[in-house]
Amino acid sequence: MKKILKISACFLAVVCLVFSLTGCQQLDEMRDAHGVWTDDGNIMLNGTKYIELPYFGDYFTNGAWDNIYVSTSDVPLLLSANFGELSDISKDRVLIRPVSYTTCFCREDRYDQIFALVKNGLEFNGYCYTYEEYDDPAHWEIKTYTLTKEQVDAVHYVRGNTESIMISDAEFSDTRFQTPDFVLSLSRCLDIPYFIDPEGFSLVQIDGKYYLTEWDDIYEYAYPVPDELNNTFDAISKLYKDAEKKFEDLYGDVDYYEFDF
Amino acid sequence: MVKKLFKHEILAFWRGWSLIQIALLATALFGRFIQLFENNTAVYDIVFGSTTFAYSILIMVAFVGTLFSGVTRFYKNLFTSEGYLTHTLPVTATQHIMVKLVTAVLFQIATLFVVLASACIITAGDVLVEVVKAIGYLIGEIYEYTGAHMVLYIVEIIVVTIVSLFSSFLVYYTCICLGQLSKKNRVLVSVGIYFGMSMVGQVVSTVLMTFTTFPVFEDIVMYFTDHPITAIHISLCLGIVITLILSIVFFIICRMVMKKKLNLE
Repeated sequence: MKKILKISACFLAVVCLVFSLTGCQQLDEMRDAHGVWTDDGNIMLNGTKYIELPYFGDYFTNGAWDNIYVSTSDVPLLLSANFGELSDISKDRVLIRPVSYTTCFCREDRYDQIFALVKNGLEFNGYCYTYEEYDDPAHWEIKTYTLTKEQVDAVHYVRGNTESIMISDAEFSDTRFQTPDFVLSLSRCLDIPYFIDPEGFSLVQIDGKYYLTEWDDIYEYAYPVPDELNNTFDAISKLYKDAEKKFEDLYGDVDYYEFDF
Repeated sequence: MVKKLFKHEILAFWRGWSLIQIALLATALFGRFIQLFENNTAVYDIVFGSTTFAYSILIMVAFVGTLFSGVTRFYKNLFTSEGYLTHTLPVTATQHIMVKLVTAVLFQIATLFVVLASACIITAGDVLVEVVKAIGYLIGEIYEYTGAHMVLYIVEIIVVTIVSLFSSFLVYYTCICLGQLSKKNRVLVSVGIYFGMSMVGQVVSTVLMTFTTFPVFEDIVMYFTDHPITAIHISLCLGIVITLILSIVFFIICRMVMKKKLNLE
């Protein structure tokens, strides 16, 4: 009887130990999404430090982002969403931006590189656009395409060398541009996938002809793309058009850019 | 004699009650065991999902089962053929009711502890640690807001819970006692009385709620809005007093019926 009791006690102890050692996947996911404010005003996320960058702006990444919660260290994991501050984190987990902040926080190992870029103000030397790619109606992903140097040069060439057409002001609007074949927004960006300037161009196609459009306070202008650059702009818009086609195959004939995602 | 009555009542209650609690603890243990194999496959999702579902059902069964056992034991032991033997014992009607009532309440409290223990088992490990941390943090937050009032709240909540437990059984006991005044279909009559009492209770509550919208009560409502801490104390104490009064009324009804109007089948 004593031996049975001893064995049962040992068994219970082992069971308790095993149970206590096993984690929980959902908890691990919550830990990945729970940042903690450090005493020096930076953020600690899953053992990695994020240091504040002197960057002011709304757009800290040119791609998709996830949500995390940043709280003080006394807030437990399960209450991070209730007592923490909602923050955006870039998909590659390099930059964090609490929603109430205009600065963002950079991962320690990339801090020096990115700080060197922002310390003297950002020089946007490229263009990019985002598009949603659907695998099936339930799964979609925001992707980014950054234009190549040749494509950026083509955009600058069109902007600098073609005669613009005023297509809209306070009273007038060119009807051709109200129903384009597609519209995609080209935002100014850097070589690295962070910090975009939403001020840029829209690339529009009407009856097979490309135009770059931009707003100038009250007026909207269109710069027609010369025919010899059609191939370049076909290449620029290829991914967007492919995603739109895929979307149409899944959802039928609904306007891609008007669809309520 | 009362002690012996208690002992036999507890033993009789234990037989049915313990099976459900063992099933609950076993399901919790199984649910925790399943989590050792946690992965992203559909098989795991189905097995763990089913286990969690079964566990939730068993929690409801545990509470409802204890309530059901308490009520049926009261009925069978005192108002069916068993009653012929029970009422020959040298025990007063008050003592009979108290024994049944206290045993039922004790087992309902025991059910609560078993459910808490099963919850600790199924979340044992990281999850339990985080849950305890979260509860501790929330208690801290409440204490920061209410101060020493929190201790009083805890006492009041415990008292109101215990009084409500007694009251919940006494409602059924009263329905059974009043039902047995009928010559035929006593169980059906008891059920009818229960629904009647529930309806009356709902109507009274609704009428009282409507009164609070009258201008006469505006100052009181404003006071409650401006002084939430005091309002909670008043609400809890009122709850205790009203439930206590109702419990006493139900108890008196049961005692009177058992003493003066007992009519066994």
